[in-house]
Amino acid sequence: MKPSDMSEATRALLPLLDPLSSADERRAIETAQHHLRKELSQRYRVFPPLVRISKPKNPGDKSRRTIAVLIVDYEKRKTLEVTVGSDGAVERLDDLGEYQPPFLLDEIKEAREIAERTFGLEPLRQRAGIFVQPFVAERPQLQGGRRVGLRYRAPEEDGTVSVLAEAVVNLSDRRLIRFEEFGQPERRTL
Amino acid sequence: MANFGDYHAANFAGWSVYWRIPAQSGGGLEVWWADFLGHRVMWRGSQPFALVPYHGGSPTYKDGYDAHCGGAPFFALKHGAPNGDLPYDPGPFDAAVDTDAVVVATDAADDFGPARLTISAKFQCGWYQYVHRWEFSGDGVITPSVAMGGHVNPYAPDTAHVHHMYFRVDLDIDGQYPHDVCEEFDHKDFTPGGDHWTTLNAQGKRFTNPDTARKWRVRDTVVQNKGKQWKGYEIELPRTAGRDQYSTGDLWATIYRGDDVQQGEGVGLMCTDEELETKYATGPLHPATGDDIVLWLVVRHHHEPRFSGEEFSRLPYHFHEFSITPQNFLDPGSDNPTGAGGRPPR
Repeated sequence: MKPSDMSEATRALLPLLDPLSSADERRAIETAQHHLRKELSQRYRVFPPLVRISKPKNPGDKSRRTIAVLIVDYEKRKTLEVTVGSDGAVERLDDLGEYQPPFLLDEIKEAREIAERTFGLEPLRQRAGIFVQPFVAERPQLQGGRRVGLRYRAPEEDGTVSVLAEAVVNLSDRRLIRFEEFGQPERRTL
Repeated sequence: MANFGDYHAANFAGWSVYWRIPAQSGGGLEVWWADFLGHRVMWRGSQPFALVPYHGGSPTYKDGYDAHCGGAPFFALKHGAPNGDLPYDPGPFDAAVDTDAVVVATDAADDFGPARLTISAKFQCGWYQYVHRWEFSGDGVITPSVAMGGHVNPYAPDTAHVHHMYFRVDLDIDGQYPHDVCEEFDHKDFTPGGDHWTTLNAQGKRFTNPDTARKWRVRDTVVQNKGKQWKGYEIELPRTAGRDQYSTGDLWATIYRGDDVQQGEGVGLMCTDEELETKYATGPLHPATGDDIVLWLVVRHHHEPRFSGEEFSRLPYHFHEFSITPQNFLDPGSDNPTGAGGRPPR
């Protein structure tokens, strides 16, 4: 790197830009869980922590490194974010309202189990090459909860990939709330 | 080292840039701390979400960060993933770590242009693929672009739609961010003084106007180059598609409120961008002393599918871009610092 290409302001950030270690991740998660121990229900998931570098209010002031831990609480229908400082102390707790973070693989797996158990999708699952794509069902604020949309798709002989069925599972109450099957003589819907 | 979310450095063509993909956000590639020849230009740039309305009024997807309306987050693919409708969850082309998704390319200056540092990443979004690309040129220009590929909507393969791709650009001119102003240019006529720069005094929604060659700039109010000109960067937004009832503006001038808020969350609850105007870009600006300006911009493409022809199997990647160009950021006589366009560097 040519030294002249990086600004002094970025050079000052270098000590803050280390990759997030497994130990850092684990500590931040434990801190967040401990901080929320009286608030969280029995059913929640923790997302992979994320480093944040703050922009100081004035140029020349120092930036700070924090770690954000996002937690989705299904029973309480809340998305919370705990910000942990470099000293390991909790700096902030934010209720992120209706914000929908991307679905974790575990969430998709749980939603599939609920959908497939509820609607008896075994014949569908036998279809060659079938896969499931998640989506965010429309207007979560109208119904609330963590709603995982699932599109069951499979390749056709002509090379296209069709949609066989669509399901929406609310993980907050572990319930299949919408189901629609396409292209069947007797089309099943919920 | 985390699988996603760490900062990675890239350097070439006079630029020092960092990139990252926070998979927790679903908003795709972010570029951070873009410095040119030792001077800060941009704190952060991203293309966190898209609105995609179809003819007939439905669907109207909001994809990316805080997806809604049947849309999906941007999911990192291996950069070598084929263009098409790919299996998913888990799929053979999922990026296991962020470096699987990104290509950092360096191109030397040639007879026709400057050296370039290009950072590209590929994402899946339902049946679509999006490519996020940021090009940093040796003449100080930044060219953000986005490509659409993958496959047409299997529910409506013949139905035309518009991709409204929203960029968030946080320019910090020479690092003096609390002192930047946002200005709008209009070429009104050919009389002397027929070109006007207007300094905005309030946050809000702005419109392109090709008839007046409208463009914008973020200009600092405290740092000048050696030619005694205020340093700045200007933005030109080419247009091949227009606004509609879902995507209602072209640029929103607002201010920095943090890197954990106003990243696209809460926008698109009703499948429109109205929250950018009603929640994000509200409040005064200070034309004399400046602010820490953040811009939201839309790149658009109306897609009339060729499903019965060339787009049956896949959509060829189709790039759309805009430019962020230095204006008096460099000193007179130093306009070719890295040997652009076949000329020797100074």
